Amino acid sequence: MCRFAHVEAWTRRTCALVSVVATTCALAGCIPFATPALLDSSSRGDITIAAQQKLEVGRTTRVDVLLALGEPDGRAVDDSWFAYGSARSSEVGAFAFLIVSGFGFEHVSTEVSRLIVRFDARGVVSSADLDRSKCGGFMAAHGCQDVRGGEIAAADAALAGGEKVVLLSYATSHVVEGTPDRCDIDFGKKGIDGPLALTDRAIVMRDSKLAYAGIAEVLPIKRKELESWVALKRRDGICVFIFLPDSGDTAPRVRELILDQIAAGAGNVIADPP
Amino acid sequence: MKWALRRAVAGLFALSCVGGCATTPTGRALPLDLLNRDGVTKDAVIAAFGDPDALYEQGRVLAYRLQGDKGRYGRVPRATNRIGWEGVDYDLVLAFSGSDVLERHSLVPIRAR
Repeated sequence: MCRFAHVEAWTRRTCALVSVVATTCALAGCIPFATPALLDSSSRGDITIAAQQKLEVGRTTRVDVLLALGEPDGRAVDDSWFAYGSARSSEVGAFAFLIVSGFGFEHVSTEVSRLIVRFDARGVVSSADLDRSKCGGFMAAHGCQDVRGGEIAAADAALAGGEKVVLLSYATSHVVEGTPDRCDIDFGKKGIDGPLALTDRAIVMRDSKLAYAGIAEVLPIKRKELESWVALKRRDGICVFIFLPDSGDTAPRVRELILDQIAAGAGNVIADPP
Repeated sequence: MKWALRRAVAGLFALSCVGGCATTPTGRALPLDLLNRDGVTKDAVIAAFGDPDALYEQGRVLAYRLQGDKGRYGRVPRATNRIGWEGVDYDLVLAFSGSDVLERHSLVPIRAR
């Protein structure tokens, strides 16, 4: 069943893994388990609507917020916003026993609650938005909303660096460069980790920028180790690979956005995927 | 042979007890009753509690991460303080006036048991 030609490589690998696990369970024995949604070890207590209701727009001050909710999980450089977040995770999986040892596998589901409190120039609450999101994954949840508001900080940093419009931003990313003679992801090569923002003019990561005008080619999505990478070739011939959380969804979205921005700017050579 | 085994088991038991104690931070109890006195200054608080874990409003608001319960609270050791809110039961937030006198304070439950 895993050998059909139309099934993509990573799907075949997942299929093979499931087959191995299922066969092992059948031959050796498994103990299935499921846990209730427990507060993550590094999370604060649940952020609920009760926290939001403690704050009154136009009246509650930043000091009031600190006294009511405590230190935030994340904050703007100028304290123009605070982020309060909590995360609960449940697990469903099994322990498989072999002759002398065993192993476990599980699917983790996480629910994140996040309250973003924004302040006006006087330090009074101008908005307090609570939202809940879910994420999950095999062995660990992927693509979860950042309780510290990292993507907001990334957008702030891009704007502070002279950018005018932030279109997308992410709390975490990993960027690696190829070599002049090899346009491929080399996991042995050190990359850069950090928040990343896509503006109307450039990809901004910390102090470095890659202007869309500096991109010679937007390559097809690169699949490596079950993940999807945005692949670009700079005008100097070096390939740049960007990994973002929940890459299966985010990589095509980011690639599409980069293509749109380059097209809007015109004058760039764009390669369509085969 | 039997005694060697017993000694090994006893040694392992003692080691696990010591290990358990070492990984459960307790910390010195903080004199929280200080906060209920009139005219408490920021300097007096820092002298009693130590340097704060975070500052806000140009240093007018101090925050301390605490663990404990039932009236006895200690600082969360710095080493465990780094990973989110692990081991933090309460956040003590202290707001001072422009002349550095304590105006308001709050013990906010973070992961209170």
